[in-house]
Amino acid sequence: MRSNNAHFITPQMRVLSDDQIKSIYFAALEILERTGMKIDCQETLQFLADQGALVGPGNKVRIPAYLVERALKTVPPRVVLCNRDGERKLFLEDNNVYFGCNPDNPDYLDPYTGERRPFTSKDGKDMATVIDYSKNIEFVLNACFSADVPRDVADRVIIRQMMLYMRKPIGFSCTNADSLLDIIDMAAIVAGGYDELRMNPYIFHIQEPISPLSHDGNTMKEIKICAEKGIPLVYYPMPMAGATAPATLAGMLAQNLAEAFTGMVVHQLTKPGAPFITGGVASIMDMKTTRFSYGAPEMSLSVAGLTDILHYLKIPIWGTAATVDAKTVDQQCAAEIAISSLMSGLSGANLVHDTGLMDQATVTCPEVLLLADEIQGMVRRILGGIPVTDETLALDVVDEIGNGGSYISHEHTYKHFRDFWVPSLFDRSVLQKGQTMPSLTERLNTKARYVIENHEVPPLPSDKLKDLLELEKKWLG
Amino acid sequence: MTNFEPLNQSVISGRVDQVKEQTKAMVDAGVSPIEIINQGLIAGMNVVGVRFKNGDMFVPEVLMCARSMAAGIEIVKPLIADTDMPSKGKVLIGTVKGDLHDIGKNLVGMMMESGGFNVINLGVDIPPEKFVAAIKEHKPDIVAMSALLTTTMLQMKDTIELIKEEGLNVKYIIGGAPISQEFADEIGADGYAPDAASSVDLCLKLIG
Repeated sequence: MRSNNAHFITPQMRVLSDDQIKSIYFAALEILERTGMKIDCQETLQFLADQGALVGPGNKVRIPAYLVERALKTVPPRVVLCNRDGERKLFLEDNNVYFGCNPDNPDYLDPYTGERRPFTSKDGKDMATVIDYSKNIEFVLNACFSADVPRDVADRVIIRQMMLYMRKPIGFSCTNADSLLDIIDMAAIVAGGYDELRMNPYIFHIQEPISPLSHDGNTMKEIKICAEKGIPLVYYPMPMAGATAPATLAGMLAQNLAEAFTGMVVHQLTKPGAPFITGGVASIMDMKTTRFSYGAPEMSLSVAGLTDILHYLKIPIWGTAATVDAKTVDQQCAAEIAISSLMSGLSGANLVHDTGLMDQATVTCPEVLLLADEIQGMVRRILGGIPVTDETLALDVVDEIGNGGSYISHEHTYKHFRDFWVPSLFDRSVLQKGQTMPSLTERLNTKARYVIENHEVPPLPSDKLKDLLELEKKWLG
Repeated sequence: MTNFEPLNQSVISGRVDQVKEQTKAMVDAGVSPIEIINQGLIAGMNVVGVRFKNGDMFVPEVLMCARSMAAGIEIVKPLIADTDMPSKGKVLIGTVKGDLHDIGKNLVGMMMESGGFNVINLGVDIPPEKFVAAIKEHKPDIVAMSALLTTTMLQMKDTIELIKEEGLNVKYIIGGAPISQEFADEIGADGYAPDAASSVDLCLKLIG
């Protein structure tokens, strides 16, 4: 037998050493103790003061390191998310990677007209169908846009569309604490009760601090609700280097971490052991346009840095990839998706969100999801690595085929060629003279329409559908 | 004949201390304060504006140049009447009620200042009544509103409606991540800018 043998490794990447991680971690603790956080919620300030934090004027609170360490002791190292049928699907632990998308945006690129227009709940249905179809898109994050219904109920309308027309776990932001409670009620119907929902979480909620170092009152309310009801919470900032965070990435990561820890402390001290996920959409401000860059290499690098830190701290990780600055499905879009997806995959972020957001998170479409699905399929294949065993070394087969032979009809090939990644969109065909190949953009459009028109999603059981429609009378009237 | 070239260059390089020194020296030498502003400071800033538009300079550089220009203006300001101060117009800016996002709005304000506008920054979480009171007090040409949240952007509509009800005559411009030209049209705003840099052009267009 082989001793002292690291039996199987898969491709992996680190962008920070252990010592760099420690430096950033301690810098985050220093920010919390020295500069502190502004929290616009008296109840939370009082709560933190009772736990030993120092509350000063201007809603400022300085949080000592031991409160962070106490939260780190109770934060679970893993969170499991379930699909609509209650099956445990996403194991957010260690280096497991799952890509997810953002189905609703202010605008939509209509695959039937090519027009850019406001996103509606009908588009939500089409996006849900494409998401259900796409193998590598494993969860959604709803941002609550739907131009055909009143703005203050759009969150619940778009989430209902997701529940009806796809089966993957649902993340969301929402209007306020009241609508959060409504959405929990909706999910409990689908999951088959509140206890069921707590044991097999089908939904998760996201909330964000406001960089630099500020937290809104409503946010604190929602953190408390999630902790008490056992709904997994993702609390993460979106710092912009050079604008809302230091221009240097290390400083931005320290600030990002300090802001995330603030949510974690409130959350874990409210209910030790409640499911918590964090990370950051940490990027730069583009210094020509002043816009937040979603496709910047600094974003992939910063998110990989946060991933290293959170692996070290054993907290499930909220990643970001495949969200682009490109305004439509073009070459820039494909390059931005590819680099960020591979970076996230190699660094092992768990819940990697925002596939398919374009033009600084203002527009999306089915085609971009299908493009990302293809690229992320390639990434997954790479992450599988190179298994080295007697079977894969295949020495007997090499000897049998020998010099100048062919492997094509050998049983070993027949057995293993299925491991090859097979493109469903990318082209490897031989072009005959005079023949032209439709562009990838055209092929994506054809496929998007095909999936929307032909992919069948099993309906939600009729009793649950009935209860859901009954419940939504509360806000739709 | 005064040579303004060195002062122009100091503004273009964003050297605050150097601008101060050169401005003081000119004042001591008896150069007209208005000339120092127009030919020394603003002329330098105009070059910065052109270079920024061409993509040769970036926002942090523009802001450093604007800061150096402002340092020079501080020195000559006491020597001239307020009405003689060159300005392209007055802008009142604030983030709407319920929204605490500050930085994008501040950046827009700074870019406008560097473009020659007089900017009054009201801060964040500003209810419609406070906008109205500030318009009455400051009499701006333009009211600029910011929102980052989809849940607060509708406050822009309420604010515009209240200002109109009060019969105040101003132009309205809006901005922020979820804002679009369609939304601006829908709520009756006069303009929308997708980023801080283009907000300056938008103001020039509206009151030019």
